[in-house]
Amino acid sequence: MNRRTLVTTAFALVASLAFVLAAINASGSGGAASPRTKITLVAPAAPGGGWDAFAREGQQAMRINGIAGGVQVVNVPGASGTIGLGQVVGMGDRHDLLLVTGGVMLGGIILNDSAVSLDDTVPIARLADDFNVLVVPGDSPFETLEDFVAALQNDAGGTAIAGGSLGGIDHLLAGMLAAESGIDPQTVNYIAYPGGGEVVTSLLSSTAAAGLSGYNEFRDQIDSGNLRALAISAHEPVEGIDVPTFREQGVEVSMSNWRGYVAPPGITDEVYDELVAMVTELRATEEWTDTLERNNWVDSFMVGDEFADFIRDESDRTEAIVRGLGL
Amino acid sequence: MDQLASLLEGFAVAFTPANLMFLVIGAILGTAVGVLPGLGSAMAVALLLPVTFSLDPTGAFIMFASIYFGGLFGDSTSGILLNTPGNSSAIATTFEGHRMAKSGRAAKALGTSAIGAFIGGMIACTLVVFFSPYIVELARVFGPAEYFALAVFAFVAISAVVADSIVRGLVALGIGFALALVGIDGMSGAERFTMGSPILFDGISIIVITVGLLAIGEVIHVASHIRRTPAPRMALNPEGSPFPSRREWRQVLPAFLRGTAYGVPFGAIPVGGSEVPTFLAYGTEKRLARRRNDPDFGTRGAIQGVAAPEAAGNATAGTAMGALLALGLPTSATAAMMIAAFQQYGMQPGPLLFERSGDLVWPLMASFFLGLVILLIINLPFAAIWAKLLVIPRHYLYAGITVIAMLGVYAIASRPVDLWMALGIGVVGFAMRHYSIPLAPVLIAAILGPMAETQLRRALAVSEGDVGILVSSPLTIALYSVLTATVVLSVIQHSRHSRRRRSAVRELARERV
Amino acid sequence: MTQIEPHTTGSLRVQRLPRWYTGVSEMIIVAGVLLLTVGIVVGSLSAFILIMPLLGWLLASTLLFWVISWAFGSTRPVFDVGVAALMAALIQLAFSAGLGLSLPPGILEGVFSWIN
Repeated sequence: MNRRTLVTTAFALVASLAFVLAAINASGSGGAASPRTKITLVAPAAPGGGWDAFAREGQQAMRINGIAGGVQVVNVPGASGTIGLGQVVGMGDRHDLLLVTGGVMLGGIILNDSAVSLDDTVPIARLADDFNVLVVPGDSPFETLEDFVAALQNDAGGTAIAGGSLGGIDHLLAGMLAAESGIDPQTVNYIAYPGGGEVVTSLLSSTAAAGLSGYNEFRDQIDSGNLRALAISAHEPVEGIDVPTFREQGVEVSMSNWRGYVAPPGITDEVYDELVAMVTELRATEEWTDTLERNNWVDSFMVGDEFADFIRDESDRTEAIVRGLGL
Repeated sequence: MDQLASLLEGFAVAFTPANLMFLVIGAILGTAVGVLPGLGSAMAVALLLPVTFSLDPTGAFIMFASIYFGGLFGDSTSGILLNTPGNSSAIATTFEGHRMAKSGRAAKALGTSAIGAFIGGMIACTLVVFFSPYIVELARVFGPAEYFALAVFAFVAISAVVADSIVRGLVALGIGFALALVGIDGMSGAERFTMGSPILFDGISIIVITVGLLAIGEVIHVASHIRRTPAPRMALNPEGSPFPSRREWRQVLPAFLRGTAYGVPFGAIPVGGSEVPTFLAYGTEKRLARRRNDPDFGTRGAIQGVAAPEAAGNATAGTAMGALLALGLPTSATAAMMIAAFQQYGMQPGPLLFERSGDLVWPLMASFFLGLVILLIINLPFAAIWAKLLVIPRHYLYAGITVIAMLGVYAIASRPVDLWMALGIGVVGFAMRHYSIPLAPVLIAAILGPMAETQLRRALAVSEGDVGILVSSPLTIALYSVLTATVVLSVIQHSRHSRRRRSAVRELARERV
Repeated sequence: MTQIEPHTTGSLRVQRLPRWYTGVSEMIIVAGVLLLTVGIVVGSLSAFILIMPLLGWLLASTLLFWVISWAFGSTRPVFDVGVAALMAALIQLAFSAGLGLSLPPGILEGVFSWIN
């Protein structure tokens, strides 16, 4: 009898102890009073994608420099980020949350007929620009952008362009390129792939005649000669990237894959100021400068109302292009 | 031979105590993470990324690689024991593996799967080290038409799984297709079966389908006859050592090699998917089992049914790693995560990786081999211990499975909707078990169906509607020819077999008279 | 190959029933048996999904474990509370504290914040 009660008591103690510890941990994982104690960066994409990388780079920089007590990244993938957007908007007055957003989400919002848009969030800051490159296979007959545009004008349907998901930057760029070259965007033979890696495959197997994706996806293949870069979608030539812009070559196409942070709609003014301060500090860190360099991102810091206006303008522009593409 | 020298140098670097420690930690973590469905290696790498920032690059990569491979060892453990594969590449192993566990041979199943994973991984890694330029050439050859031909090939080859009852098999395939269709179509933006709800835009995750169908379906099924089947439950004392006996080795070694043969090429094909070779391996073993009238396959569980898919799965992972490093092409979410990790350290996977960062890459390759060895060492003896898990009283076991299943589904994207869908699919799974509709085709259709459809439509998009593109390259012609030949042969065999049987029955009837 | 095989529905073994017997009456019998445990399982899972955001993962999964364990015939309900608590706690510690997976705190949110 004694041994049995001993074992049972010991078990009860262990179970209770574990439970209490777990409860302590659980209680800490909820919201925090101030974003400085603990901040959650919501990446509305699966691990490994562009937004996820952006969030984790930010997490790293914040952690090392102690900008916040604790930084965690949560992934809420789906539907070009609109699912993550919907979740964050529904979080009302959470003080400790930042959602990663970017140009790609604007297209996604329109395409997916999302009930919420970035207007329903509080814009905090834009941090970096990424640019997309138009490439062709290394052994392609197209040497310059002009060659490619000529082929497109000649036979748009037969010149397949590979790129990211529908409504994303690649798709919009393809549409813009067509429009600027006097081609009806709806005749463009655009083939959507889930990721940049697959666009590379498509080009290497000569499935598509040309491809669009972020510079980073193509960088190594360009350097090794497997792919040839025709143009980059930046407004001005980018330092460190040896690819001429569309505009330099006479085609008025430019669009940046910008990325930044927004916050849930219900935050107070103090929290807003705090978040802006934190992001400003983040941008000034050494780690962030390093990040920009490594990823070939361009610093494009913009806060507050200016950022809000920018989002609105970009949103209108995206909508126009999407309509033009017939989506 | 230059590669051999570099590899040996890499071994020297990898063999330091610190790096070995990272290897072991990664192996354990990866296995633990692999066991939980829904928490894939991709997530594990993502979650551990911050932790590894403080380590030196070599150490960090060694840990990632061992997490990656560890996940592949762990996912079949939960599949075998709990009928809940931790990853879609373990689904094929689960079919025979769980049957073996139910008939008391869990340790043997776990041991076989560990050895199979080891062999598949080792062979693939060796090939990668010495032949990566050739493997990489495959990327150039595979366009959408080739992928489609491959998918059709896989469907037909796996049809052995469906053949028991054509009608039931088709019903299962139908269910699988229907589940996979939900979501926004990537090529055209059209919504299918989403019922206007944005939550369903991304479709139903394969993990939700797997966990719902296999785990929750099983729980409900057992619940339904809990009153009828009393105490002596499924685990007859799980004895048996995890190590195959000499006779079993003879049975199982060819299966390992067959599985590896399927797995190696698929890893090199970008986005080939790790499930296809495992299904192919399973289908082949099933066919072979029928040919030699194996009584175990499909009932008690045959070792070959565990050996081949496991070897295939790990072989694919090995070559996929090679493709990742050599081409910079992510063939899975984990691989994409690894690329991000590489970039953090300034390494850019791709054609120039070996030139630019050779001193980081070779220790990494060496650590693949070491990692596989360590994982084998960890998993084999532990197999007997894991098997003891099945001795837990049934009520605790299934309660545990239920909670873990819910956790796994929730871990995908933290959405209650996923939980509801898993429950719903679980009910469907229960109904299927009730009416003896096979489960495997659902999963196969759910995975292969979307792939086949996407590739077909891409091929047609590029050719602007010209169907001829599907048979326009040597590879597609070859695949379809082999396919037709196989089908014709098996039809001839089948009719010969049934003719023989009919005449035998006639003989008997005549004799009786 | 035309033996009459025992007709198994998985939850009921009905031997050699003539064909007219299968149908409605079988369904009623089967339904009655199924309702009990299956109903508890499905019901408790539904309840779990509903209350998990409110009670938090730790408490909800403890309850889920306990209910399923009881439904499957456990003879020691009080002891099971301990097992359930331990199991849920281990998962919370391993995955939330250990791996950083975010599990909803629900009602426990901020309860122990004086520790931080």
